[in-house]
Amino acid sequence: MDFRTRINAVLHQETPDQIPFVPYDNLVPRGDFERMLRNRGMGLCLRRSSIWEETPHVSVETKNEGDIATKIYHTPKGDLTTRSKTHVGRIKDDDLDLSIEGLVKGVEDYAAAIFMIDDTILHLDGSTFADATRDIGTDGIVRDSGLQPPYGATRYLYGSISGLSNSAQDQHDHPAEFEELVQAVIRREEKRLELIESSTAEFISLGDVDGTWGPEKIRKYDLPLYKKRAPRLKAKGKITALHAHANNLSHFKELIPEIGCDVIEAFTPPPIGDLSLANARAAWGKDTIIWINFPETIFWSGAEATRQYTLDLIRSDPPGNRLVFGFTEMSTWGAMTDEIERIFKEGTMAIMDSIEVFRQ
Amino acid sequence: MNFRDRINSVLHLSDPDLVPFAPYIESFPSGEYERMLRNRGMGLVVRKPTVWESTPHVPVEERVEGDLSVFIHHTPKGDVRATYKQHAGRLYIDEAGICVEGLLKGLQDYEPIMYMIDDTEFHVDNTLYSDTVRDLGGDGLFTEYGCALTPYGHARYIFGESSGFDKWIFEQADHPKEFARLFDAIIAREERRMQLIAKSPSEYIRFGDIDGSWGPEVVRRYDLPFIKKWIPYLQSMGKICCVHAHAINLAFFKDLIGEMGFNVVEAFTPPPVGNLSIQEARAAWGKDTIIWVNFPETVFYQGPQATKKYTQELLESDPPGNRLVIGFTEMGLWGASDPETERLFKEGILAIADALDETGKFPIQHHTKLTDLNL
Repeated sequence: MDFRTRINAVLHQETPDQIPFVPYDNLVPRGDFERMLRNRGMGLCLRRSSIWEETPHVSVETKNEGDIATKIYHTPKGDLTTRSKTHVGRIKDDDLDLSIEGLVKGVEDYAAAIFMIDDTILHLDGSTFADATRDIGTDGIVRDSGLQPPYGATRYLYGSISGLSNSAQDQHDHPAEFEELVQAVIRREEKRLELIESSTAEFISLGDVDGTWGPEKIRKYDLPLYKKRAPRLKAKGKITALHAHANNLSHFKELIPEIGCDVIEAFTPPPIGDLSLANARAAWGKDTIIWINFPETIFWSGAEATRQYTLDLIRSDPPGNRLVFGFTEMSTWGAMTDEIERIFKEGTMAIMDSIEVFRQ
Repeated sequence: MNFRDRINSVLHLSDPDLVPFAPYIESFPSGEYERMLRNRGMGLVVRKPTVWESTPHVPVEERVEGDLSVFIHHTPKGDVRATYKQHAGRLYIDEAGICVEGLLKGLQDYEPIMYMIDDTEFHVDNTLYSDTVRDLGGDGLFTEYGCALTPYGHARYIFGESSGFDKWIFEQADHPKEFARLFDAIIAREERRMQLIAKSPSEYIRFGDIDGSWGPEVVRRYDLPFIKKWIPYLQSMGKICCVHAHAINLAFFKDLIGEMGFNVVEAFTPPPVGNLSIQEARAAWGKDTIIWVNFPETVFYQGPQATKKYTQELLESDPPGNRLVIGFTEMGLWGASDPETERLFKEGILAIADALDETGKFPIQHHTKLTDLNL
């Protein structure tokens, strides 16, 4: 089987010839090592969005001072500011910037933020998805970006790490205002999902389980939207994925099946995560596709230990036809020294060795 | 030889095993077709700038109106704006935006723009080089992209690309003094940039372009002094310097290029698209100038057999082939957005690969028609 046939066999509840190995494309940058892995059957998962956004009544001003980029969003309801540290190197997937100040700092920013959210016009551009699909051919799969779960989207308005405490406090200090903010996001996401339903993409992302907020928040704010929309997307032939990179996933074990996604992606098993593959399978059923984010810390135990770990992981989830191995967080993208590069490369090859052994 | 050794043999005036096939990485997005070509020896050329810039006293306001992004630069000397059409699809190899309104539109814009130029601060990020080189390994080449334009090129594009063409022409004639001041400001900025470029960890440097939309007299007047100052200095620092000569009227620049002193003439587009053959270029530039071909994709429309024959003749026109590179610098497979074009391009590119395998091994023999008849 070529890679595309293999991954589609898993996604369509059929039987592949072997467990697919498929990192995000940017996490294994192009070069001789990446080519060798692809020649051995590794595929690439391309994350592309067929939806772009504009806020026609919000102008954005950018000021650059050294490596700090400040953006000021001018809305009729007031100004909002974000700050990012640029050129930080490869500490984050996808980009080289780091958010150091989020858009929303407190409840005083809610009116402007709600204006921006309601001002958002979404457009569907299928060419991005179509071009990526044509390019990758049988060497990969393209996953469209879909929903931004309302609670998570609201959380990230405060900035990634920088706004964590304000986000937590404001919800409790100003619950009515917070509810309005979330409702604005829900309105926008409903519009997004309408477009997603009509897109040509089969494989789509429906948000994430981050782990920094608990299942109660997801039940309260996100689950109604999932329960309304996930069945409709399925009826349209979509295969939906939930990016569950939380390392405390055992707390979400019962919730995840209620969300209704076909694929639980970025699943990070122990020793990083707290939910074993066997326990996840028992909770989610035989047809849920579990797409592993391989925990790179294993690499530091050496290639042989990595091989054994991988084999044990595979054997913990027989028969293996609803399992995918990948990297969704770092891989060789993050290997910035010679030593780390050597260890990561040996480890990655050990994963492939074990997948091939299991196939035999 | 792996690709890296092969391209470095050419760049260092040694002998490769065969002529390198070296497109820009963007020309060949990842996929099974690209992997097949790389397995046959095609390499990837990655262009990144280790020198980046900021203008700390010029905030930039962006307004999005549908698929148009308007950028307004607020300077203490006044505001200037440029407009880009976004989501335009695969029109350019690097991005999907087109400039539909350039920054400089008239006399009122000179002072703000010169303020911006003087306000430019440069910063260095060498991790872009080290990370990329580590990633590529033996499969590619890094190009320092921090000085992609010459000073006159910078002046040209301040007016916008296609949108500002006539303005750019008229302003030089109507307001020569102001244009001269603008150009001097650019030179001063570029002198500062080059101080950092000279310290780039990258050996291979892209230094400007020959666009073809302005003539050799203009290049001589505005850019040649700058080039003659910096190219020898960069070469004394161990740099290998290339000029991106994608002009289709390169015959007019033939003698000028010989004066410029570049190690590599990249994006060289031979007939039927360009008007300068490799033989003529070689005769003008000497045996040690590396000619890096941008393969003219129009040949693909003649079919794969004709493409293969064209490629073989191209290779045989420049024996022994150790100062020749075949690549794509403008479009490649990136531009094949419909099934028919995709099919034609893929067949054509395979024909190039076949021709390289059969005819591109060093040393390439020169074949004449007479020789063929003798067989």
